[in-house]
Amino acid sequence: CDQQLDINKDPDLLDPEGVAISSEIAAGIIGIGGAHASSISFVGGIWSQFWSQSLSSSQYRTEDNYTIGTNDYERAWSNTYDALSDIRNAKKIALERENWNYYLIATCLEAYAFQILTDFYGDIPYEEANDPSNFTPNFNTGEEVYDFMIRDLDDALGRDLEASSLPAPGSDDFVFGGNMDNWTAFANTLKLKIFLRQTEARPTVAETGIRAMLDSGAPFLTINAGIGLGGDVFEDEASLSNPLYESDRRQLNTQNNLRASTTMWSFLSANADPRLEAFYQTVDTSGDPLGPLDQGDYNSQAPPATISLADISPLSPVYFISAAQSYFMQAEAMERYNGGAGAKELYDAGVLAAFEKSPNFYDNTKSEADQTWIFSEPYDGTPFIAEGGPYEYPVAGTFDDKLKSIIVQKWISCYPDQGYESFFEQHRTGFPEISPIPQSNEAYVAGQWAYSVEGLTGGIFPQRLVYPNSEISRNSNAPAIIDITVPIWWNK
Amino acid sequence: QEKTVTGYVIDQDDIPLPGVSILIKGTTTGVQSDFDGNYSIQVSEGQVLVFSYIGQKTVERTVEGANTINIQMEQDAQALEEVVVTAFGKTKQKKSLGYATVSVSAKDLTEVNNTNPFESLSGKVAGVDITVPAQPGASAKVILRGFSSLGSNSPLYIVDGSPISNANNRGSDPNNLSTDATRTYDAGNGLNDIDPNNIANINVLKGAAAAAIYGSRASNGAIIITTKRALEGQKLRVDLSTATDFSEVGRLPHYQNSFGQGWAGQSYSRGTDASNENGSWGAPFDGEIRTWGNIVDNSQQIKPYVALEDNIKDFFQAGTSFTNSVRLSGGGETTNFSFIFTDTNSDGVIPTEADALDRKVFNLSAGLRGKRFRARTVANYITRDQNIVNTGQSDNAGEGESLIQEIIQIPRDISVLDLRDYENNPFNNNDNFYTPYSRNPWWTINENKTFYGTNRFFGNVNLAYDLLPNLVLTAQVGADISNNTLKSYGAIVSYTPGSPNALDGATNNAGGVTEGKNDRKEYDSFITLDYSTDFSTDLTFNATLGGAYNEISTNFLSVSITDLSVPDFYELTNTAGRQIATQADSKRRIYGIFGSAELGYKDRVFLTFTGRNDWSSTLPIGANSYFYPSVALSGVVIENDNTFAKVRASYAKVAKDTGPYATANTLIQAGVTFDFGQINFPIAGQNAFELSGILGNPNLKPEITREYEFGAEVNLFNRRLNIDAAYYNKDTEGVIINRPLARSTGYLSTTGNFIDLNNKGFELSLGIVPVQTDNFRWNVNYTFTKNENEVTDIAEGLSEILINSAFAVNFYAEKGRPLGVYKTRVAATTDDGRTIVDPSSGIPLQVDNEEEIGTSQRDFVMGLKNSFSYKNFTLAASLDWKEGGEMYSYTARLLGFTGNSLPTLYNDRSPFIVPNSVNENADGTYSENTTPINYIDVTGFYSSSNNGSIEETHVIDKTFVRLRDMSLTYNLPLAFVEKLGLTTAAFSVYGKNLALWTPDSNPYVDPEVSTFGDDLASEFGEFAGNPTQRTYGFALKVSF
Repeated sequence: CDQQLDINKDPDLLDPEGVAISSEIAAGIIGIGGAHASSISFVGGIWSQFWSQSLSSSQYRTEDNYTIGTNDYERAWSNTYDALSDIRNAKKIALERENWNYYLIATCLEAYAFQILTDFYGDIPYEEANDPSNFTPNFNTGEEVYDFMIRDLDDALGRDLEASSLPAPGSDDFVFGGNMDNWTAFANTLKLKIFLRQTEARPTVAETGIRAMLDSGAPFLTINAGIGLGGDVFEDEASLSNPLYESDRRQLNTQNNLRASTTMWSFLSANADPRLEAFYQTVDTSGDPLGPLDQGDYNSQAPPATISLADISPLSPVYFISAAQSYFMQAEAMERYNGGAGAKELYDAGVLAAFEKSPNFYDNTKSEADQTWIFSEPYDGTPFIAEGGPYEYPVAGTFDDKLKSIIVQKWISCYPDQGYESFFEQHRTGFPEISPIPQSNEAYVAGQWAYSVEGLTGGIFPQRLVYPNSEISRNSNAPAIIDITVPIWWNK
Repeated sequence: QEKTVTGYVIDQDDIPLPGVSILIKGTTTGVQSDFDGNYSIQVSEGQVLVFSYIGQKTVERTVEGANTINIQMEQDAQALEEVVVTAFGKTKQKKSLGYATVSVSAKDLTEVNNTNPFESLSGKVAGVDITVPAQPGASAKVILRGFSSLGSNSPLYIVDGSPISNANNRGSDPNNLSTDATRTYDAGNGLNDIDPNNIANINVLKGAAAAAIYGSRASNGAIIITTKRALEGQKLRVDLSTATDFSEVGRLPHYQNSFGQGWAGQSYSRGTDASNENGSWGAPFDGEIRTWGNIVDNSQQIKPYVALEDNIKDFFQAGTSFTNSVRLSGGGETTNFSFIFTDTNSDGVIPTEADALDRKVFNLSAGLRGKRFRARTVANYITRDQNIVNTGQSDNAGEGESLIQEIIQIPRDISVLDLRDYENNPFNNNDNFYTPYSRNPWWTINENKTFYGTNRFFGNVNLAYDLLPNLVLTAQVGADISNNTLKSYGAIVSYTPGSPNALDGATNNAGGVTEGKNDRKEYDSFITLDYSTDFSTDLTFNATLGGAYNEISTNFLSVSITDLSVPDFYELTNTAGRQIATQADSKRRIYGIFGSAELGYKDRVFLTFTGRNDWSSTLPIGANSYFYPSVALSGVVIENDNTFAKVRASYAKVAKDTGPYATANTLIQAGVTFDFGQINFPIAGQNAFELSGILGNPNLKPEITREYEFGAEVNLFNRRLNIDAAYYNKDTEGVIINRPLARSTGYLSTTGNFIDLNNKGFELSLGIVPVQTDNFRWNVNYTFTKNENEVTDIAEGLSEILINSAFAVNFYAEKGRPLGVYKTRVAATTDDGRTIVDPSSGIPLQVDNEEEIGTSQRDFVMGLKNSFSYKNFTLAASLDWKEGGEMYSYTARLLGFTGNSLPTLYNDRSPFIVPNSVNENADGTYSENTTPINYIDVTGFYSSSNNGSIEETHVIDKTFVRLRDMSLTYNLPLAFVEKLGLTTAAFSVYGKNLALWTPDSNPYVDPEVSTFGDDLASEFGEFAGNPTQRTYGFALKVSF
């Protein structure tokens, strides 16, 4: 009888026993990329003032007026933990099999994803998360999560990759194609990012950590890390394209929600930066010029057809850490802890890398009928960093002048999908500066962040995402909701 | 002259009546009809035969030339059904039953013409909540005594002794708990394949005791349907019926008619001369002739700026439905057969044939009797083709828009009829349609289509052998096999560059096709041994022992494409992209053994015990066996010609397993889902698998329901007042649910025994005959049902479990509350109830944590049917009233957003201060709010992206009173009928869903419409559901 009844295994699905690590790692990489380049990118890009909600539609108004609620960003949370369950499962198997290559890759992805999560939410489940036997994981404080990430990265970096068991990572590794030197550099750059974020809240931790890395000559990324950097991953097909495009352009009922914000537009325009054309539509199909929308001015009475739309391509890569970001972080570290040695060179390299990265793909014709996506010639930033150029490094300036240059350039380099990173950095460093006056005022200084015209938080910029209702209602260990205007711990 | 007159006696459902007394009037001479209803009597011409039988109207017939007199008796008002069909086709004396049953006769089902047997039963059966929206092919939701599960709450349907599938045709979700709102469709459920014309009787076994012996799948009660049979020795008989229905659209939202096209108070789109808004937030109507819509080749349309009150109603057309049925029946000495064919052809109120339904039902029922051996077989074949208008949210990346979402956004001044020609009228094509935000509804119904087809066979073979006169061995094998096919497609929409809507950023539709098939097989067999004996003249004993086997397998395969290469070609090859296949196969088995014993004392007191043990494949090996017993007691207190009274009590335990494949973890092909869209592997030539979000549970246990019930049946005043009342209380422990998990676990949900439920309730039915004379009779039937549901416990660490949601409104199971409470982030208020608003905008602030705003639980359900018979005329009318409970309405949401709904007229749309509102001061005190919501923001006040707390208003009262149906039937005089060579002839006219009253808080939708299937998830409400229809029809029935 039991034999007749032993039929309760779904014939259409795989048994999880003995899954190949490569399979889950590939799923995890796309999982993280998908989580970040969709809802997290929307809120990041709007809060970093790349984009403002269109005045003729309403999709992202809650982002732009700072009223995001507990139901609005469920996917930022759920997609990250969903990807982490595969990454952590792969990591567990890699540990059992002593496959230190995959162990390092999994740890990098794990820490990378967790940092963005904790930077948005503060306290989050880390140690007890992704455990099928624990339905109510405890929350770790933001500081604890930071320490765990460093601990885990050091653990993985400390394994002997030469002694790793097989199989070796290959095409399943969408980021580096199995190049472990790059992953080692990624792990170190990620550590640098984690330490730097603590410069205000825990300066000693930051300094000690970074000095140790500089002293040991830890390698940092000199290339972009992300998915589809060669245009070889995403396709212009439903369910296969860049998540930002897929979610905002292909699947929404209007494609015109994300408009150019006066903040980024004015800065690029003031500096005659050619990236303006890459980021936004600058003329309409009749050749008439388009302009930006003041941040959050979605009730503006301007004709919608005169407002520039953001350029988003289905083929764009998803960035984890760009080369530009790596250089800018190193430059800041040198200024802070190494007397500024090499900071200018690192800054210059960062600016050049940022110019080269923007954009990879753009819409050549702007017409729907025969839309083609062209791999653009990289922009050359050399004249901009040259002496007298608008982005020249202020070698003679104060530390704050230098930091401002670095962080403002990093802000531009985050376009389009990594606005969250420049949003965090603004809260840490105060750069770009906050405009004391609205953008409609003639005295507005180009590039300064402006409080949303329709903002509903009484002039206070948003600081975090509120916990999703799905977590609060299902996890009795979840803390109370924290208001969107309460700063994250590292923002001192 | 004395002669032998022979004939048979049948009841109104054509069931033979044994034991009918046939007396020669004025004498003491008489006979009784035999087991098959046949009789034979010596009588002289001119004498009168009196046919009488308990519960039936007495019939008198004068003997004339004919030697055959066949009699069809009519049920006496509210008489007791003496015999009811219970488990495994066994008939029992109703008075012996210790639990509630309700019998519905063929007449009740066919008084008005229906395609679904449950369509007109709402409010007519106490204890049963029936929801069948008046839409072609819609699913019937039938819930007995409340929701006691979060999986399936459907009762078990038994047709002629074999269970049939009531799976709904909405996709592959085996649990009927699909909560998806995107491009939904309702192709009905298994019940839709049963032809009301072919039903002799429906018996509803409401409680656990009634169902105990049927096994776990009857834990929600059982509905036992017996189809028509013929009689042995019956002459060949032909029954013909034909019905024609005309329908018009029923409830549409009540719209505002004061403001026309525009947004934020402006009639014209910002900065242009076009008026391209998809809402009625423009200026007040002034009757002036104005230009409107997009500017096309430097020209624009003109029309008077006035409200078109019926612009939406005018879109709909008159629907038609034709039902033709023919039945042949007859019998030999030891054989009988009945064959029925019914053809239903309908086309609903939505223009074109987009909601057409074509169903053909064949039924063959035949019996054969030997000396000790009996065989019976029933075979049903159904073929059904349905065209479906999709509901719910649009799917721009695939198969396009759904109709209602588009149509309810149309401004109050735009003629929907004038939009019809989008091929020749340049203003109506996609490029130039008046708005970039929604689609021409005519395009939607003509270019985006869904077809559903079903071929189904069900039936059984039943063999019985009398081992001894009082020991019968019965074996039955049954099957229910259906093949279902789905085809759905949506057209490419590609805006011409530079066209008005392209410039406004309207989204292209990629176009898409889905083709799917879903095969279901259910095999059900049992063997029983029935024994009966009399221990003494006072003490009788009946017992049954048996074993049963049930296997259900499904085979689902669906392939979709998007990004069509060639327009208007809807085949799976038509894409350069990927064909996405979805597969779902399943198989489950249950073995059961059971027994029952009934002791009767003096034919007045009856005690029944049952016990059953099941083994289910869906539970973990080693823990897959479960036993459940029941006991029932029935006692007749008074029984005489005038009065009958019976009390009953029962206790039962029923256990229930779950769906397949909930015990193990699995890996699925990897992908990431966004708020809009998703990306899926394989990506760049690489495939990958990820852990399924559904965590397996190796510790699953069956759900256990314990129910006790008390009831009474009383018939007074010569059966002119009949009362049946019951109280029940049932506890369900360890309800198996898909528990949503905190996402930090990495999982989405796990299936397990996580909550306990209680349902208790009271049900009453009254039958009254206030007036009865020779020619006139007035019958009143009244039912009252009240069920109270409570979630009594919930697993450790959980406060609530999400059942369904839309936007920011969530629907939960929460401890201490009825199953299904609505919650959202309501407007923040002070302790004394004043609304706290944002001082800069005047818009209410929202609380951080959701608060309850209502439950879906009804207060009560009532039904009232009056029928009046005068000579050959019968006039009947049924009302039903469902009081209380809330529902979610996306229609309310979208009508508010677009300024088409009545509440948006608040304060004539002038700036207003939220009534009784305050501002919160920095020190925590409050001061009177003086900030009005300005002119522009009045529009935003009704949109959740500007005013989150408005979501609260999308949960509305679902109370209604409905004039369910009304009919006038004329039975042609027998003398006339016989002259025509007919046996009977009747003509009727009727109406269905004739009137609907809803409270002021629901000016939007028919509250019986749901777009979320036929189970618990559907209690949530509707998401752009199609409207119901009002029907008028006439029917003719003849027999010869």
